[in-house]
Amino acid sequence: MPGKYNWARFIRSRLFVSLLAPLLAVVMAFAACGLIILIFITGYNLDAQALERLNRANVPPGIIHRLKPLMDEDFSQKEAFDKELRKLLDNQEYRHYSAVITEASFSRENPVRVFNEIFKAALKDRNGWGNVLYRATPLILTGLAVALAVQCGLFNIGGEGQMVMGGFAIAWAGFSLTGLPSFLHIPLCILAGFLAGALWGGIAGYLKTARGVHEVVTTIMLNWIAVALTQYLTMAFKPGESWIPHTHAIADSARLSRLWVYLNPLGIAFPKSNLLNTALLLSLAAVAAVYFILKKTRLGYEIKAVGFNPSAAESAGINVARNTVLAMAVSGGLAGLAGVNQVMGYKYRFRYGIFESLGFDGIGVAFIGRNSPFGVVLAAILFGILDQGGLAIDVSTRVPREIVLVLKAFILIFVVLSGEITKRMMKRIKKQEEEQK
Amino acid sequence: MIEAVPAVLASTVRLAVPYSLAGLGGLYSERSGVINIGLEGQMLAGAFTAVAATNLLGSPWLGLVLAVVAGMLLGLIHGVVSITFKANQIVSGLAIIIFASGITVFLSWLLFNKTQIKAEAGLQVPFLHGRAFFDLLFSQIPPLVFLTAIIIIASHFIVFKTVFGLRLRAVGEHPQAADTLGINVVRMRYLGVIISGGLAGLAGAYLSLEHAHYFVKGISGGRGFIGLASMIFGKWTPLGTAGAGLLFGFGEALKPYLPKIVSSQFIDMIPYILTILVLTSAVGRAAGPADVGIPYSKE
Repeated sequence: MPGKYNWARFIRSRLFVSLLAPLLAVVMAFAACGLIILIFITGYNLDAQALERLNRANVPPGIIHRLKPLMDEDFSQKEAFDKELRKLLDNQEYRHYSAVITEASFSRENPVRVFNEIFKAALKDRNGWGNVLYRATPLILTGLAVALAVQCGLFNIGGEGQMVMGGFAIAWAGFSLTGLPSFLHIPLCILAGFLAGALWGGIAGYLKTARGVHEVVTTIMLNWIAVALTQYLTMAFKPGESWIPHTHAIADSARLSRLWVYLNPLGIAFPKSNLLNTALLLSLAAVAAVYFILKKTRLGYEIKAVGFNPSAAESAGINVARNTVLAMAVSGGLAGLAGVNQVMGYKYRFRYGIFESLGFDGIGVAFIGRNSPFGVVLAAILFGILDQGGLAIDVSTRVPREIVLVLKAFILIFVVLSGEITKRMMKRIKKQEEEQK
Repeated sequence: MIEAVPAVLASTVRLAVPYSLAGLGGLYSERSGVINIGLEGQMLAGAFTAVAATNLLGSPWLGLVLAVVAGMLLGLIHGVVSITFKANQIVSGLAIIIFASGITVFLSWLLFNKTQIKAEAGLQVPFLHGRAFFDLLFSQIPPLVFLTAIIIIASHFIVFKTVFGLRLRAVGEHPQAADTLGINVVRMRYLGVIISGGLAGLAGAYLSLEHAHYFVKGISGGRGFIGLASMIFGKWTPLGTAGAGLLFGFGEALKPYLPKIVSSQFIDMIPYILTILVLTSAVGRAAGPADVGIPYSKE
């Protein structure tokens, strides 16, 4: 039976296993978060079901009628609900019925509804989609940065630092150069961001090759140096009258236009508040460039050879040191470009707050995307959905929006776990195949 | 200027406590062969648990104990992911940081309906509380400082003079050799990360209960990473780590007295720059345990 044979082969194929791991991780993360919601999120709501229960418990209709002001109002704290009951009922009634009413109104949050709200808020209309892509734009770059370094066997967790260095350089080029036409100014700003990020990443690469210091430690330290340094620079280039810690605004010629400017005349209507801007195109170009470099160029081949086995690469005549520094520099440069979206497309100034944790999220994005350029795009969109949709649940559900952070943490943990498990599965499959031969 | 000396010294000691404790935490884990960059998250969890438990249960000492337990639990999770499943230790640590920064705010919304929670009681030492001398002393140097000093000296003996310490170091240097000698590598590494998390949790409890007297979202503010820097600058020894913590604390204590040209951000960079310098052997030499970061498998 050829059909069955193909199916079995598909399950054993690399493609299937590599798709399975991140999918499984995301599903497990949602399940674990659902459990947290079920356990912790409780509340009191006198809805139709609660009234039904009161009727069945023989609570006099007169009392139920007096509870009407509480109908469908949500209380997360028992005390608050109790206080309202006291107001509506007299002492004797309160003593008799408060326990029954409280019990009937008690409810847990349905996790599926919460997740549904997240996705609905993010994807319900074009505006939501636009903002999801706007949030995914910098994550694609910080994710690509991690993914590219992994191809060279390097773990670059310095995306945060490389990103803020690049972000500041972009802002600096934006406000200190004036009188340039846009077609010159914009590429100059982008170049400045890339170079500053590349310098910061390159330092870690150099210290690894020249001094043998592991890049994980140096990039952690360089992250915090960059954060402090840019904070200092921000204060140095702060507009005199401003109390907000941000730099001068960049010149008009360095600002990217929002996509609605082009799309609205074409009949694809976006509200003018939509933040999606042309930086998305840069991110997608970077994805294509990284794909091209890795697949089609000598540099990409060498980088992968070094990542696969440095000593073998060395004896094959590949300059390991040069490729390590280069890979870290390009990786840092990519992270540095995240500021194009944040500074040139959104705030028009540098401020640490608009960058915070985008670099660390890039690590999650790269791991979920299995370190492949296209996987990174999909994972960045997933994170964009969570970030955008998470803003809504504060209002529409009882769940604080920080659940999104918990969700991301679970995704990270499960993605490395399922990665290890599938790696072992692959090994076993290989072993079986060899035995069959 | 001279009058400021006692104040600076007291403030140095107060600021050094979280760095030293977190650094010691990192040390137990790395000596056993597991990198724990999740210190920051374990600290945050400890800081929240300490205040939440103090306010809900009424006892700051119970809060302190539960904070240590919370840190240990996160250490245990790190152990399960990175020792049992042999998954990437850095990513696991990072996930712990993200998890802690989310869950602490999540729970403070749920339990207290706000993200800044004042500690309703401080730690008071039984027997000594109420005596004028000790009250004055503890108002300048909180009681946990003394506990920290004891832990540092005890750690020196534990790591270098006991069988446990020898095994811990052996497992981090050469697990295969340790295994052939009958040392349970997995068990030692689990103990390493759990002690590590507990110490980071204690550092967090100090931060919220004794230093700030409240919990606020992100209160650890990178101190876990300075702890990591203290450990490296202290060359993976308890006394060195404590010394580095004191040095970094001193830098921070000087901040209010520095002339305006020296921006406080440059003081903030010192720990990280020094760490890179010792690692590159530009200043002294530092090298960690040989097998750190590599999962152990018998095959």
